[in-house]
Amino acid sequence: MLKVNHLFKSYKTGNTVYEVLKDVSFEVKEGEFVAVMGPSGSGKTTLLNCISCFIPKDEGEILLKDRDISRLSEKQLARVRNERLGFVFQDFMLLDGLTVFENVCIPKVIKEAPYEEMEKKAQSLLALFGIDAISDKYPAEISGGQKQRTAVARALMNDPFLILADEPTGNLDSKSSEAVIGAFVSASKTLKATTFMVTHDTFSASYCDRVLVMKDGKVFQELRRTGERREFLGQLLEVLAAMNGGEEK
Amino acid sequence: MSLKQVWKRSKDKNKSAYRQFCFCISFAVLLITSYIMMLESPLIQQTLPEGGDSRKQVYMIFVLAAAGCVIFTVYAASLFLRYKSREIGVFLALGTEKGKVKALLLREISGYTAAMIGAGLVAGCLVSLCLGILFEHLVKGLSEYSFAFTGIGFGASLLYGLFILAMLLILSAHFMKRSNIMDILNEQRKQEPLKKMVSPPYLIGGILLFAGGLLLAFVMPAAVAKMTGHYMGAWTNLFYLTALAGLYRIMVYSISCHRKGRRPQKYYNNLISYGMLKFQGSSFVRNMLVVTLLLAGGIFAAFYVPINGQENSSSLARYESMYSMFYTGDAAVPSQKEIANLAQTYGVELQQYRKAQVLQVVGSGVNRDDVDEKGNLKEVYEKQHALYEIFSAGDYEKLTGQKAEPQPGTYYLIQSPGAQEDLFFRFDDIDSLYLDKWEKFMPLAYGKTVTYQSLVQGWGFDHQARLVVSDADFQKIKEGTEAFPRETQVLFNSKGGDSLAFAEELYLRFGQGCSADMKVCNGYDAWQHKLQGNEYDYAGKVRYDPANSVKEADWQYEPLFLPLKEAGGMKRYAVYLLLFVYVSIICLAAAGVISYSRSQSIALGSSQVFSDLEKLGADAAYQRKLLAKQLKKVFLLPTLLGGFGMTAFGCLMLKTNDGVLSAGEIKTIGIFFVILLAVMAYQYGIYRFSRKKAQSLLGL
Ligand SMILES: Nc1ncnc2c1ncn2[C@@H]1O[C@H](COP(=O)(O)OP(=O)(O)O)[C@@H](O)[C@H]1O
Ligand SMILES: [Mg+2]
Repeated sequence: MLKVNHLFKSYKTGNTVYEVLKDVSFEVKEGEFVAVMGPSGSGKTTLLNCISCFIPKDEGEILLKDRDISRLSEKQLARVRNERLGFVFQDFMLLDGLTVFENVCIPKVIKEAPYEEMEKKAQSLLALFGIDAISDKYPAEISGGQKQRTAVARALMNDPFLILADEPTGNLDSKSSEAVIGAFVSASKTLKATTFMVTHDTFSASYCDRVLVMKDGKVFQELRRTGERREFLGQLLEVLAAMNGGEEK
Repeated sequence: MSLKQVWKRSKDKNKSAYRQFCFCISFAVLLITSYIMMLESPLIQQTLPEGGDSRKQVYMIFVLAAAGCVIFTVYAASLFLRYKSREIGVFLALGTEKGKVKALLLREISGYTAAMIGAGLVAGCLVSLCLGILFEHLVKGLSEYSFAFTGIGFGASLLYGLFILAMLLILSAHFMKRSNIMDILNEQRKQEPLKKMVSPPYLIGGILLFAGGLLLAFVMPAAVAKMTGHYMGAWTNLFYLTALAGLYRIMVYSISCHRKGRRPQKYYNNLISYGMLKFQGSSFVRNMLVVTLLLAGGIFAAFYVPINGQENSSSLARYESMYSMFYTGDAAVPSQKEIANLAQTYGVELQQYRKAQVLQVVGSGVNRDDVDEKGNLKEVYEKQHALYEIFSAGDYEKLTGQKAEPQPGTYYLIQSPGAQEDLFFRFDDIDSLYLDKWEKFMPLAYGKTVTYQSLVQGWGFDHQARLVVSDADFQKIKEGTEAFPRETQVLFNSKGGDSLAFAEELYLRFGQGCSADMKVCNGYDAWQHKLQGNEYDYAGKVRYDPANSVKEADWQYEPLFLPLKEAGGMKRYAVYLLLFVYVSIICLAAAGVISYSRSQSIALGSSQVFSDLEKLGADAAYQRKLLAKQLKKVFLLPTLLGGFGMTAFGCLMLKTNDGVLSAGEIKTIGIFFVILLAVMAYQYGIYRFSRKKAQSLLGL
């Protein structure tokens, strides 16, 4: 579904150039739920922003269903973002003046889609994530976890090829986090959604099929979940501890 | 690096915010200063009738404009504070003492404001000087008054500047008073949503309040007075507030109520725009209301110009004789021969000189000066009510060329064309005259009205009524009276020459030669004076200047010379033109600046939303469209409501003043629509400009 080949990205500040991504390559298969972990500053957000073309890359290829989206015009890109990609952000980014239901509708509203189908779809997503009871409330009236589940529902509105999520549980307590991860999992199971999630949180990552660990601008390690989630969690904790330990030496 | 330096550094980064703030303050002061300077200069003061309606209206609309300017400086300042809030919040969050930050902020605001007020004062003086010179040229030869700066003008402008300074300091101090750092930090994103759940009844209520308020404030008092004679008093103006409340509701509804209704697809397509608007909050609606009022005020002021021009030219056309004057027998006013000589020196040819004797006699009448405790007009019949002027039928025909043959024992009332009875005056109020020499009452019945504008004195009723009686009755009255002096009425025309200079000279000589009895104001009645003695209100109140015929006089014996009227009308018209056009410009400028800064704060406030939407796949074109939809709300509804509302009101005014629309009035309505179009074009221009600026603010 998503193929990233030899991606390079650097930031220029004044005369100094910071190389953030140095030859990153990986692939996400259809229906997979993949997480990216790594220490702060290792370039996770930069990677996500390159994939969604929010910022330009220096070199490399980003293929979404074998199509290089980094070469698209601004108009085509907007279309791809709207129809082929779904986003979930750390700070929810819901519109305050619209209800939960209406917020979920936004991706279809932007492309002025027929409303009957849109309403049905929004309804079913809200039901899937257990937030249909609050569909007429405004963002100011609901909890962080509910907001983020609304955002996940919104991301799925156009049946995207890929959901990109940057620290979706970063602003949430553990109970809300669980509910949000639950939403991702049921999206993956029920809707066969493909998800690429950046996270800091090992617990969240343990729900994924595969975890990429980044370090110094490269994919440092790749872990695949084979058995139980608990087992995978232990495995992840071990790797990260080793990595941090290695850093200290 | 000291706090001060950090503060200064961040200023360099926010240059455009500073520029906008400075512009708004100096612009407001410039507008108001130049206007006050103009208004208080002798040029204007000498031409605007004291205590007259037009003077009141000039000041009234000006107060609206001045308030508008205060409001837009306050908006500009709060926008500026929003720009500054983030960095103030960061200073505070990092533990800087609040007092220090506050001192810095207040020093900065007061420094900039004071400098800008100074600049505005200087620029305002310059603008008014330019306008003054321009205007002197416009009315050259008609006035010896010139434009000059006055202490009052400067003082008032300075006071206005100081008031703005005080307002802004209070605003900033209030801004800093908030203890919560998060509030200050988040000021830039702060919004006060419209919480009210509005429904169609809310809108209907609004419409009812609006229409009802107008009806009660504008239509009802006139209707009630016409039907029952009950004068309701100024309190009915309070209903305008009801109308305003209704307007507020209509606007709230237009912003916050959108239902799926019958066109769900359209509803959904506009969903994002609706959601954003709803979050603009109630300050947004207040803002729209202020802009609506300013636009209405600006348009009203602009309307004044064609209305006045129309009235001036149409009222002069009604005079049949170019010159009309009357005086008591003992006055040393120029004789026919002297007038002819004077005319000759100006190359003017005297024509159709006519002269007749006029008797002054006390007669009965109805006193309608008071209202009872219920507010109903009291009608008191008085046997000896006022002093009337009497023409004989023969003289009337000689003067006017109209055949008038009142039956003995009846009178004809001389009136203006289209004159009507009203609440206070009736044609048949007189039923007898008092012949003082014989100490006898002489019954007299109303016959009809005759029309000759050049013979009508003042409002033509009550003590200014002029009657035509049969020659025999005239003779009888003449013999039976002696208490009040006889008068002479003169009418003539002229041809060619410098009639204006001739008329001015004649006006001067007439004024200089008039007798003591003639030095009385319009409201004066010699009989009432005699009756009431020292209690009499109108004694000694005359106001006239023989050397300046243009200056509006309050003088019962003022001669009526059309060349002067025309020139004076032109001049007065030019003064109105200038003043009202200028007030109009101020109102429109204030409305424009307010709309502009609101647009910028919308852009500023929703930048996050736009970047979110971009991430959700809204392309630049979609975002531009969305922004345009937001901004249109700022402009469209106020322009439509203020514009069409005022135009409708203007037409209604023309219609209700005399119940019909003359050809001249229809032309005036045409001009109304031209003004309306111009205002709309202006608003559209501001909209385009604001949109462009907002787009660049959002990087679209
Ligand atoms: N706009 C930028 N300009 C310059 N440097 C940046 C910019 N954004 C991020 N960086 C740098 O790139 C590195 C990676 O940042 P980021 O991708 O946000 O890391 P992560 O999300 O893994 O914490 C950091 O060292 C950061 O300082
Ligand atoms: Mg990050």
